[in-house]
Amino acid sequence: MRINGWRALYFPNMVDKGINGTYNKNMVNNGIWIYYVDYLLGKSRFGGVVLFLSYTHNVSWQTINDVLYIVDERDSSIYSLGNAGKDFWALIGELHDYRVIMLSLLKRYNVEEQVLNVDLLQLAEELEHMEFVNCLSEDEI
Amino acid sequence: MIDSTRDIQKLSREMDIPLNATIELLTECNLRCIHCYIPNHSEKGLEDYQLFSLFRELREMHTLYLNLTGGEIFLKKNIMGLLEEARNMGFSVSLLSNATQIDERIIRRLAELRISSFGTTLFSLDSSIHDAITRVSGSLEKALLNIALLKEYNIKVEIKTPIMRQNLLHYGRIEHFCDENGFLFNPTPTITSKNDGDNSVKKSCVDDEQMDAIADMILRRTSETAEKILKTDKEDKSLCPNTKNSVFIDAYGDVFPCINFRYKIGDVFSADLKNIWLGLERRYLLSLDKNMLTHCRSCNLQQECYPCPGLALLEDGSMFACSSSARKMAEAEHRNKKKGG
Repeated sequence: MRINGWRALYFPNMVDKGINGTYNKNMVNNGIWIYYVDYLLGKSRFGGVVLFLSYTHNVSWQTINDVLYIVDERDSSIYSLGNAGKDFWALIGELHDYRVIMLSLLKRYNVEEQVLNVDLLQLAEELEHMEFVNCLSEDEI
Repeated sequence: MIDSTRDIQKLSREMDIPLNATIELLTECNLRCIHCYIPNHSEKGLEDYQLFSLFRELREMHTLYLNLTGGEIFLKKNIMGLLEEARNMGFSVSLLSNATQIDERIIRRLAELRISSFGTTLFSLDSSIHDAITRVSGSLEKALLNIALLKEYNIKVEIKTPIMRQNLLHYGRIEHFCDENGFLFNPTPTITSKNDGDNSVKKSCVDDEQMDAIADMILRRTSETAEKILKTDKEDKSLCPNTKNSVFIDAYGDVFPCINFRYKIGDVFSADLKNIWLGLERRYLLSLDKNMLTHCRSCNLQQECYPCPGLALLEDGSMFACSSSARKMAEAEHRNKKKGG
């Protein structure tokens, strides 16, 4: 499957899987990258995981000081998941199941459902060993 | 959303990251614009493998914004392959082109690749003026056709208009055209000398009276983004804040802090980009601060002026000299402020 571009999701409190304090990236099936970012919101309080799903060319991205910056190329808006974009937080705050969040965000960015379904299965396999904690709302942060 | 432009620029400066990279892919061009700063139009630029390697180095150095310029970039062999690679790497890619060497197939692909912006130059909407400046008949017609297609494919278009004696009366129509079509309009009265120091092109510059007439419009059209960057620059005490987070690589592989600042800090054939970035020449530039501009201390234009050491070096003999181009713009703004009370 051709993979172009990047999408991102953020799940707080997921980092303590032996990766503590460091920045790692693992390329998994078909260009799905998982970034572990330990101090998105300050080193002591929260950890987090950012999942990139590379389906479209809608975004550009770069990490600076282990914080991820994403440019949505449709309107040049820039998001830092260090102090995450409000719409990301709004979605994450409303929806507590990672699959639902993922579907919502991917649909929001016009990812084809067919692609989405296939890769969700792959992603689910990759994520099976991870524990998902309820996501935090913007207020909680 | 963060206060994106300012914050990320500031952060990258604090962290010594080349957030903004500009690569001159070639100097070859099909147009022969009367004011062009490039002395020759025959250099084909770095090979693909060298460019791919540069992309990788920049990526590792945390570059996010990649600007590709020429010459005319669509005369570069395998330009689409280069763009695909850059986008696959995650760069936010902006292009500067004269818009005459593209067609719908290319534009469709640019849209698919989500190019950040397509910058091009219009001197006038009157072909007798525009084509006289580009010295190629039919160049306006082609450019306008392609600009319309870029719009159709939802690609962000930025129209740059150097305002010279030759097209002084024509920017108003371009401004209107941009507003009507949702294009960013970026006019400038600054015509820089050629890279080799030849300042014959400066004869196209507007005079003081003409400058006064357009200064307000120029300020009004300074985009919010540019304004934020200028504000950050003004607050920064270093001689050239851009040196902290920008890099320019020309078609010969020479490396400079920016396209206007021709103080060579290295070349890609002798050293890795990272070593150039961390090297002595750039360190020297970083050690310089605005206090060294002694002539600025007693200058009454401090508020309006954005001194550019690059232009000063090119046009006025020293990076510490008063930049005549920056001064000219500041003087016009100052006079207009006075008139406005």
